[in-house]
Amino acid sequence: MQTEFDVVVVGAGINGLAAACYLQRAGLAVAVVERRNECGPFALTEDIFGAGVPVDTHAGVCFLTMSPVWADLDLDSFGLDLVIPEIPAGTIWKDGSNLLYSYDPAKTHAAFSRHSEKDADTFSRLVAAVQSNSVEILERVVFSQPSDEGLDYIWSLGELVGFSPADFKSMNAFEMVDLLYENERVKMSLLGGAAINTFGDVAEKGEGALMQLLAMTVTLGIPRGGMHHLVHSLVRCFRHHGGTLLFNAPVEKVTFAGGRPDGVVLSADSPYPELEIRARHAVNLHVSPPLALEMLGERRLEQADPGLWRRMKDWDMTGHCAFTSYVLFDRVPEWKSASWDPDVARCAFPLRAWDSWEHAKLSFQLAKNEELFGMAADVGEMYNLGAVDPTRLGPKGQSVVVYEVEYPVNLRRYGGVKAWDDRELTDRLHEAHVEDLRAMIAGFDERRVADSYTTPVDNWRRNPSAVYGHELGGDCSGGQWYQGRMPSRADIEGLYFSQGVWPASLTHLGNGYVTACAMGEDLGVRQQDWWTNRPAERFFERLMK
Amino acid sequence: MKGSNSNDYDVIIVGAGPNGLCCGAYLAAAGARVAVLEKYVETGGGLVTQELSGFRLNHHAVYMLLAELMPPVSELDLASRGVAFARPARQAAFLYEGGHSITLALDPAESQRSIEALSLGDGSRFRRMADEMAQMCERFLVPATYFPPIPPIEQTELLENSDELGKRMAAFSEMTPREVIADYGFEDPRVEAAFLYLACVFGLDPDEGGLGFLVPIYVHRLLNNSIVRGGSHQLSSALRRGLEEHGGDVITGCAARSLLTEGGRVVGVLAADGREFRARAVVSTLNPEQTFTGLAAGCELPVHFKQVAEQWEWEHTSMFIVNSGIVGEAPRYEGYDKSVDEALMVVMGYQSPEDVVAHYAAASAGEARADAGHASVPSLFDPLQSPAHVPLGPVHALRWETWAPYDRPWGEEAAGFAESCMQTWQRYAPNLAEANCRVRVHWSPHDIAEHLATMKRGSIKHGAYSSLQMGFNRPLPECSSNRTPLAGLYVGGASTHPGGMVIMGPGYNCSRVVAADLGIQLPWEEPEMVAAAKRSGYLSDEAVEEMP
Repeated sequence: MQTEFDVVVVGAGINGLAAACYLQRAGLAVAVVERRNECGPFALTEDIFGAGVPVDTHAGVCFLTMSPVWADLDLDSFGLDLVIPEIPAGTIWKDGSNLLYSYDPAKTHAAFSRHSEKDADTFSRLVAAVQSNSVEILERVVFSQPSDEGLDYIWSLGELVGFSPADFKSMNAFEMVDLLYENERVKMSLLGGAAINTFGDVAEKGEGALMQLLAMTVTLGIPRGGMHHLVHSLVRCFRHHGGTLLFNAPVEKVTFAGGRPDGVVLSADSPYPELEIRARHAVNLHVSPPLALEMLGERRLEQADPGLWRRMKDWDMTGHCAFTSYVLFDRVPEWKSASWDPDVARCAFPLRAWDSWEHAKLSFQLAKNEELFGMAADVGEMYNLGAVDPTRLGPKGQSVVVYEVEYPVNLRRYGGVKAWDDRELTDRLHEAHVEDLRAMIAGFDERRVADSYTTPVDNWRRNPSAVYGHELGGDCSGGQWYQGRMPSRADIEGLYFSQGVWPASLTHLGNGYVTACAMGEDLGVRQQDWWTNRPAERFFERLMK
Repeated sequence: MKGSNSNDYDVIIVGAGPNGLCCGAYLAAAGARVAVLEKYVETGGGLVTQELSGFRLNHHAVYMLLAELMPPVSELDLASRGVAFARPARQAAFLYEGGHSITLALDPAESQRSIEALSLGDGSRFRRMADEMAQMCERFLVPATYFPPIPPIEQTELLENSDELGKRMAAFSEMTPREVIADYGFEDPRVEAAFLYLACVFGLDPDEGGLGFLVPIYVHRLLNNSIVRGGSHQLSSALRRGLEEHGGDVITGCAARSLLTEGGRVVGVLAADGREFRARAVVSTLNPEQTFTGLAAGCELPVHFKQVAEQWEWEHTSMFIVNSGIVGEAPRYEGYDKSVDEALMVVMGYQSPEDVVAHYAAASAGEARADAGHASVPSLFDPLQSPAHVPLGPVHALRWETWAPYDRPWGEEAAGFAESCMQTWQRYAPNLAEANCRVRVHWSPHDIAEHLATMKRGSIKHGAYSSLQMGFNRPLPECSSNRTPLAGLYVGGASTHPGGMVIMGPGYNCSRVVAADLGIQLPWEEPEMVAAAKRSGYLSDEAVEEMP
């Protein structure tokens, strides 16, 4: 058995795999070691109802469309088939109205006009200004290392939407939409879109403004058949180029020689007990900072790099974490708001927004105070993928709506993190989601077949790296934002990270990409004709078709 | 898709279960160009492990009777591809009324002491049985698993002309499982019930004649039982890795529809999606109905091959399995000896052999009973099988398993039946009532048939074990040695000698036959255990008979 490689990647999350694919394709010998018996612990497609309906139980939409990875690794040829929905997203209110976003600007303008002509004009103008710069913005802000120049560039983007760098930098998302728009629905919809973005906290200065702006660059696709096909395509790509992937291989520790990491040792519990796997050039820890710290050894890191040790030791994983409800219907459900705009039936990813702009502002404070029920189901992401991908339907046409809400994880007022295992509390929260869906879906009770949910702690159980269920490798705000995130490249030679780094983890695979770039440069394999830095290129090609 | 440039192969194998992957891995390692076609997206067949919320749910196979004895494990170097077995020191416990129990361990002396505490005289009877059955397994039954089948008369002759052990095995062949166990003369019906359960739990009819020779393999190996670290699926992953590392292709989501023939010879497979795969040999690991009246529907075969769909006897019972993941302590069997808590299989609900027979008969007759069965906690022996990294209390993966009939309206009844099973378990282990159940998935016989399409009517071994369907007769005398009357077509699934239960005998034997016919040199010697069985006169190359 081969136990010596150029690079060892710890953790077969989608970003770890993406990094591994780049390096393997660039000619290095790469091993990925994974604790679980499959890859992609948050890119899951599971038949949770046993009804033959594939449910994406965590990540529901694929942002790979924004990313250079899709084209560079040619994932289409490894079995990834992205459906590009005509109406990717929208907002649905309980009073029966909606606001839908289309890849056709005229359609989006018409949808906005139903709420406010003036706001429709403003949005069209701003989107055009931002989107015509999308490739550059994504390249410089999302798919590259944070830097001082990058930060200056970020603040300069305010000019695209009419603000000076100084104003943009000191503005949160609420202020920005308040200044730009007049209609409450429009404001709530735009804020909702930014809030689910993971490039920072909408309520924070600067971060919030950037999130609002980046929301206009976001594009998405739906992996036909289920999100897990993304994982399969990455695995096929990695193996096709000769990569080695070990399952059930929990890493006990990283080993060092001459001050640099030279491999990993697997746990005694693994089927390869205490196996040593050598890394000639580099180790990439694609695990969250608390786990990475354990593998590196606190004392060693404190001596080798006190700054990094302090950052990892104090790393905050307690932010917002997903509580997801799933409802199985006997067919693709019909939204009540179809009477407002029938296109809602074809919307893949509608959001449920707040009931008022005042409450929207309040709910962020409620979240910070961990007042669970004050904010229950305030803004929810809904995935109605049966509407755009017929392979998601069950044998009798059944379809699932996924409803995901981010909640604070600590719950001190309910007894701490373990409250997430309290069935009574979680049933109540799930019921609040169900109530919300009932208000938005016609014939809800007649059409509902079954329902279920997963809590942040369930997410932690399925993804050991996702401490507290955190999806982003740790909070992405304040001291952990942009340059405050984990470095891709540690000061210790040969040590790399791809979780907790900038940009925050998403299905655009930016974490893996940025770290692969750093490693590729350091190991002298970055120059490859297929390795572009052209985000969204394949998406625009597809859109033109 | 990238990875397969051409659809021309030396060997195409239909079905990526343990036998298909095993056969393919051998042939690929010997240099053949191999493709395995699999109808489902995932490979492994019955080696299925689903991870939900960090709990590993082994929905079908979990106990590895032959574990490291299987030649592929060493010959294909599965250890370096991630296969390791956990073998608990305490193997099986049997709970009886009034707080009585026995615990059987790897160490027969410990088992003997436990039995003696219940029934003094039965301890030494157990030792006699255990020693004899161990000998039978090691010297004949396990070697015979990796050797072509010998016609029944010749096999009986060989055994009768060998030594005392051989004569005893020949005698067993005439007996029912119940008679074999009764032959050891246990005084206490509870002890007898324990061994009858071990003999029959995986679908052996206690009163079926001519199958007694299978009893030692079940009883002895269920007392030397293992689970796969990381979950059963890891075993199939390792086979697949070996196959792919040697250039073999595994093509998933590809159902085989029919055989391609030219001049009466099988030359490939047509897939349901219209793709054609061509090869010098095609191996079907499907059940006889799927192979002979499905794939080979348009081929020239003797008429009785085509009648197999009507004549083939599926198993009389299937299994109902409930897997769950809990936050809570492992089951503590209140009022029972502490050793029970540490056993791999904990059997509940049988006081006498009649209880075992009655439960089996009820299941065969279409009655579902949740008041007896056996339970396991895989996470006790393999920490990878539950998400212990979350520090919010202990977590465990639980499994309940019981006989169940296929003919039930499981669509309506399964959830309630699963609940009744868990209540039975709770009656013995009351602390389970306090556990916080995070995930639970049950597989009824209908789910088995749906998820594992070769297991028609939930038949876990692709067809009943009966003297007419075992050994040389499995599935038919003309093809139990893997070749069929149709040139280029081979059979190598659980419906072929020696049968199911993740022992990989069919896949192993089939790889030898295909290699010989294609002129491929296999770089492995005959296993020493097989050579020894020949020296003892139990097996013989001359007795292996090819049907014309």
